[in-house]
Amino acid sequence: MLSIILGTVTMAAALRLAVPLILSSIGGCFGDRAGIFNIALESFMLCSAFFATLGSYYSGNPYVGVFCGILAGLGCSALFGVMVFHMGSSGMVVSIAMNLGMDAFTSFLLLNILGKRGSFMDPKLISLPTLQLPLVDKIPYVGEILNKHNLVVYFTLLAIAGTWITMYQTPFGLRLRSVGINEKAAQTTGTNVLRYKWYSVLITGFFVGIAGAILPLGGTSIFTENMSAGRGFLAVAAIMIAKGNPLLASLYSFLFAYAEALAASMQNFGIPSQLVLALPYFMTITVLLFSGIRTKMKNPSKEAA
Amino acid sequence: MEYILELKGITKRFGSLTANDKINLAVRKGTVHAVIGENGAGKSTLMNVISGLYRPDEGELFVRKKKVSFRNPSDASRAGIGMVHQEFMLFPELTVLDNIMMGYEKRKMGLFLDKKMIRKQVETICEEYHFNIPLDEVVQDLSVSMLQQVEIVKILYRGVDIIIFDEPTSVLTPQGIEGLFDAIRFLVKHGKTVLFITHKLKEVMEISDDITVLKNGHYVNTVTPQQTDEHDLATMMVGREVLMTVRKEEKQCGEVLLEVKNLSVSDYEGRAKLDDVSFCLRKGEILGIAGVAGSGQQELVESLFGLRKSSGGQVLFGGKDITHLNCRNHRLCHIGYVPQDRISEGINREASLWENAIMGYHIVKGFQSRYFLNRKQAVSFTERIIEQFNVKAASTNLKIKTLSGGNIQKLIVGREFLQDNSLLIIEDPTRGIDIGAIEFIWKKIESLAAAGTAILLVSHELNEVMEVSDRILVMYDGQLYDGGGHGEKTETEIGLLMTGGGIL
Repeated sequence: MLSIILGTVTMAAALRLAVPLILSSIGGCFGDRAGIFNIALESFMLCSAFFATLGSYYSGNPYVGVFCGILAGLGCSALFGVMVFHMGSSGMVVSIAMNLGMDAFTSFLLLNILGKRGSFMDPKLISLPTLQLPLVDKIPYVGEILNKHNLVVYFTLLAIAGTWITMYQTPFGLRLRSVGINEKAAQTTGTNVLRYKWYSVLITGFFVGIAGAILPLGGTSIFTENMSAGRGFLAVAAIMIAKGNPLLASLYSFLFAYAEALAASMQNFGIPSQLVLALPYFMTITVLLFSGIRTKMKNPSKEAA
Repeated sequence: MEYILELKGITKRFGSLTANDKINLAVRKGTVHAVIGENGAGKSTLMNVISGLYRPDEGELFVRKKKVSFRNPSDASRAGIGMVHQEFMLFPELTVLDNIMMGYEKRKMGLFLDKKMIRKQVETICEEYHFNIPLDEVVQDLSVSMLQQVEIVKILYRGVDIIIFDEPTSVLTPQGIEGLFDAIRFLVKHGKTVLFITHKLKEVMEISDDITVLKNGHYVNTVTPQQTDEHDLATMMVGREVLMTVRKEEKQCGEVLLEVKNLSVSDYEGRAKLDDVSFCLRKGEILGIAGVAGSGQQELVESLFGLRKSSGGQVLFGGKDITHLNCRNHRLCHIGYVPQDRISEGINREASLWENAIMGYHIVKGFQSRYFLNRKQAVSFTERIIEQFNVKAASTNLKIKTLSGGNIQKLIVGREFLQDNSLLIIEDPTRGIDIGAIEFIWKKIESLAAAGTAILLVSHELNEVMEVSDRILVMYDGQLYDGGGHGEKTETEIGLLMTGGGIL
């Protein structure tokens, strides 16, 4: 049993599954911290998954696919930004509209560009190659988990550190957070509030774009309708529990992914599959419970009010 | 005479409202220059122009004899002007140090925050100007006077030498005010120039070197404290003689309207906040309750109005037991209430003026035609408040949050006073409003009482309780003590009761 719970196969699978969650949650943290209510990550992800498929299919190069995915993510966030910052729409409404609309939109494009319904598979749709790391594979256990992933997985590990440093160790991050806390006060410190909001929503689009691209190009080489399958919402949950801290959001994302990986491993183990399939969601509630208890312990006074 | 800051013919309009009309101002270097005026006189607007938050429509601004034009607060800051806003411009979830450095960060390697270096600079400033603030605490855990110090240090860190204080004393305790004045004197001694906005005349006389009076967006005069006194200033501000006394006439009060018997209130931990309180209030009587904040006044008022459950005792209103009625039923009994916290309890910030003006009275009378609100009637009622209570507002459809605090207060007071309530519970009715309006509200209270309304006045301004009330009760530690009739006891005697002295 332990070999399944902490086994390298489960862990490596968890890491692979975590990548899209981690990327979209660290990207989303920037929007969250700048005070933008954005739960449209799901649609950003689906859109970029589709365009990454197109890019890889027509160019034959998966990196071009990832680039197209990023462009699609940026495009979605630009649309969101225009609607919310310049047209005065509510972030909630725009998010819901985009989430509901994107499924249909990508299915429509799938049928009209690639002529397929349901899913698209083709030998010309190429996934990202896995890399053989020279030194890491020598380390026992960790090496087995970390080795033989594609470039985006390693990029993600760097991005976690990078976003945390940006958020907490640079003037840019400080000002971005200030915008989310008190816009008027941020203005008096000479911060251009609108510009920072645009930065943060575009950063979100960039990371969620990569996250979406990795769905078809992360090894499966297949695009299916509604491929994002709730991952964007899981990322939003991770962001909210972590209160916009990229490090914590990554941790929670990993926990969600780990539960999913564990569920997959345990299915061969004679445990009723319904229970196993409920595991990731059970994990979500457990994480929420613990973070809730932690907050309560920090501020006992709020309880009385 | 060297003027560090000069304004010539500054005009600022908001739509049809001219907030500043050709204002001139000259500030001498190294002085405290007070700018005074009633609510809506344009003080805050003028300061926002100086600090770069607003751009003037007309007029010129000179700093150290050089003509300047600010596009944003950073421009003003670069020219050496910083402002301590009335509502603090702080980020509650960040630490003090983060708040201070915000927008003016020092970097290392061109990219990263150099917190060590910033900390050193801030510590030097704190030492030089005798501020003692905890740099690593999160701002939301600090007291108000501490926050103000953070604001001042923040401005000093930006290297400014003209500091604007927008009504800095309105949020402070008397001790806090003394501390602030010491800090201001110290700043001036170190060569800084201070612009100080207020409508409290006592403070102006105490701290300033020059006083400029604004009225209705116009410049009135600039004087020194030696040339004038509080009475003169008040006259200049209001434009007429102000008598800060209510002439008391002998009057006969009617029958007992409100009878409170052995009322007790406990907090959630079971501590008694209000301990066995009994009193009665007659028709036409003004009963003032004095006391240091937090002595149980709030609990008393809230349980009288059905906002809080009492743990024992009885409240009779016209012989009827109203102890356990909710607010709605209190309103239906013609009991009006002016809450102390006007923003969170008195109004709905997001609603319009007219909606706020009928709030609480939509079911009682007047504003309902069967199932629908009678908009016309509501608006005309709002206009009556605006006119009678001199609320400065451009339209009844505006969201109320666009008004200044004093104007919101006047609207709330107007709402409660213009209904035919037989009992009014009033908490701090004159908080944050200017003397012209205070005088007006005091007179209103007096005339309502003369018409037979019973009034329970709870105020933290001892002066107000002593001036307006027919009878005074003093609250200390959840209990009421007799403060005598109008003018029976001196301020010192009542002050002693408020602090628990003389009760043995």
